[in-house]
Amino acid sequence: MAWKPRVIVFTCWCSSSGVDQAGFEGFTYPPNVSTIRVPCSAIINPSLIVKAFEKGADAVLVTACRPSELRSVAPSRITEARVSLLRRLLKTIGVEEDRLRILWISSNEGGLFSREVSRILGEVERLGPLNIGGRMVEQG
Amino acid sequence: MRRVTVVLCTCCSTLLEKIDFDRLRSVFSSSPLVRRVLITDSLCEKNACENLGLKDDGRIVVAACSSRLLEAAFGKPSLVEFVNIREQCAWACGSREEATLKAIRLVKGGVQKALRVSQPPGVEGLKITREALVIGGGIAGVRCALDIADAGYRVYIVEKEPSIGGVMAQLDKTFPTLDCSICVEGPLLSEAGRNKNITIIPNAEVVEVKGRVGDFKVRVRVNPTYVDPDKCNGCGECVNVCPVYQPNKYDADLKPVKAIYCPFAQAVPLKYVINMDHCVECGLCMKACTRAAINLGDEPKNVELNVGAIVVAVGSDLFDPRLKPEYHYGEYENVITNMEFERIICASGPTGGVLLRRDGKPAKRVAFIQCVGSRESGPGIEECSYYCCAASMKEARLILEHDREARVFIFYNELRAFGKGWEDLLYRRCLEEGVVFIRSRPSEIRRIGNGSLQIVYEDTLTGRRGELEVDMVVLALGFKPSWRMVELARRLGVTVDKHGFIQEAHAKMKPLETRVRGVFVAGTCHGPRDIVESAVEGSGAAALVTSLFRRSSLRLPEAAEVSAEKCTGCGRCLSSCEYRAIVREGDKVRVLESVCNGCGACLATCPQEAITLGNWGLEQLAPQVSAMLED
Repeated sequence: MAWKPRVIVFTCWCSSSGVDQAGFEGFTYPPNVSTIRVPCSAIINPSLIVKAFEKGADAVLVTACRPSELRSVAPSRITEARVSLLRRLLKTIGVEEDRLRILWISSNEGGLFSREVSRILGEVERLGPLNIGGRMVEQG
Repeated sequence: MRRVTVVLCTCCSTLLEKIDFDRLRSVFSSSPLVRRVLITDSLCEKNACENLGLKDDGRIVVAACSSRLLEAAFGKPSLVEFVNIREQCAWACGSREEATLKAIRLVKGGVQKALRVSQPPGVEGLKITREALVIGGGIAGVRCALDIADAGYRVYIVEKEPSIGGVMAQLDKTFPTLDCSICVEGPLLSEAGRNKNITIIPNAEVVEVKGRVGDFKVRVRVNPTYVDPDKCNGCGECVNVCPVYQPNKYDADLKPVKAIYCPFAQAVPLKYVINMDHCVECGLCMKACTRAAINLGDEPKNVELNVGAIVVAVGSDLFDPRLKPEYHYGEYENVITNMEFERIICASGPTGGVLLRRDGKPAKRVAFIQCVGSRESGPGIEECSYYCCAASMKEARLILEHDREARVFIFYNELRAFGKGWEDLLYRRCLEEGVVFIRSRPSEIRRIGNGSLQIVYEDTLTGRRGELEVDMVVLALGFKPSWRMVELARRLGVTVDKHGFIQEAHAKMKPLETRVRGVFVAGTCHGPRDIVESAVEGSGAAALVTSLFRRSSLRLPEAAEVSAEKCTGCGRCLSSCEYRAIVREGDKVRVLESVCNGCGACLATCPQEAITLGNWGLEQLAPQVSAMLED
């Protein structure tokens, strides 16, 4: 069987509804996407994301509320800042930064989630498997 | 060793064609981490948990539809971990094989998480003290206190003045019907005074609030009145002998009272107080008092209250017209505020209800200027102040009721007669009675001889500029909360908006609640309102308080916790909290449990990992992630 990337998606409470909506409306997306629901995107500790890569994830996605839809934009902005910092860190250790993404998904945007996830998986597939342990050895 | 029970739901057998449940059963039955695997076809059915015999199973992984739908069926929080194998798996996968593999992966993650969750502590069975505190004894506060008291609960009213009554007690008449204000409110005040369930604490202010919904500890400072309220029977002998006069705040400082005084005849409680700013301590009142109630050495007292709910009904101050120098308030004696007007036109006021100027001449030509301190970008607020159009039209009619020969002008911006009966009883009557409406925000008031005034304006309907000579100008002031409100808000932990009004939890869905659970608002403290709406809100807040008190126990959302040992007080978490639930305490931080909504935004900001939130830590989530990536 051809290699398929393994993806972990952290969904905040509200965007988890959006992911539900995708199934509800019959939008399919690749099965090797595992979702983990958390109360708020800002709860996601960067070390959790690193852990996912270390354990074999080829990509990690974070879905969060659109900042424009929040009463206060704080949590989504916190997450955005963390993710962009982490992307730079990943790059410095030789991991393609596009393996970590943040997606703004409202609770009704199932179609958008399905489209975006499929598109990102296509990109990750082209990047190939991420053997983070091996790469770190290579770099010395 | 900890083990979990795996419950798989086929969603009325609809998922059977999407997922191979037998394969799931065999995978998990052989796992050492799993106690047993149950397959059911409708977990959402009533009593499903009892029917499956899950009562003693402890840790459970439920693989079914979205937990959004299912959580309620499981009632109270227990060690249940939900895995969505319907919307996020069966319905989102192209084939049965794919969906089955994905379901196995998701459930594996769920098992790892379920092994590590712990029962959320202290979220249930919290004590409720079934007594309420109402801060402010205006119409909103009194209405609220009466409703709570009538439901059978004890209420404390903390009032900063010597008597409850608030602004409504100072008004002459109320709109639109022009009925006497104190005649309507007075009976309500004495009812509150007589009610066995109501304790009125006058001359007092809230200085400290601690605790959470259901169990607030409130410290109230009672300012000295120098008269023992338990001994004073309101006979008034002391007033007869007191040699000192002072302006009465109740009469907008227009009418003198003695230094020992009772603000108004209908005051509740009807007790005398001494204003030490004016008292000369001659001691004559002490000799006159037959009950030895007067103690000139009186000192502030602290009262500790333990209440389950707090209603903030402190009202709002009015805009300070001195901030509008073009109107020369305080400089030209015949430019007055609408509150001063109410006292002058009132039969019990300084002039016995005759509209006189300071120089004793009758005011024959009176102009009202609307929107002073509201609907502007200057020192006031941008919002409409709600009450003033109706109030000025009412006052215009009062002038004409007293003196048919008088001429009344109203300088308005937009005339807003939106309330019930306002169009007919106020606007149409004003037109019939000859009130002149001029659409303008006057640019200046000038003084011309004998105390008369000249208003310089541009009529924005015709574009013509004009000057109008009048005897008296009444400024219709907008609401503007004072700094005291900000101080009180800080003590309560509630927030204020940019104007200083208290911020509601949600303007439409939770209009009488604040961000602090158990703290409610009513009346003008959270925005401009009139009497009717303030009273309605008082009753509304009372309904919220009583429904809180009717519950047997309280449940709060999971709150973040800070480990005092690990916290270094760096403060990085403070700005991450959308609800401002984290506060500094000493050299550490503390989470206000009544404010925290359990979002967890603070967790990842902590370099010490000192903050935890229930079952959402690395400890629980990292194994879940690992398990999902195992194969």
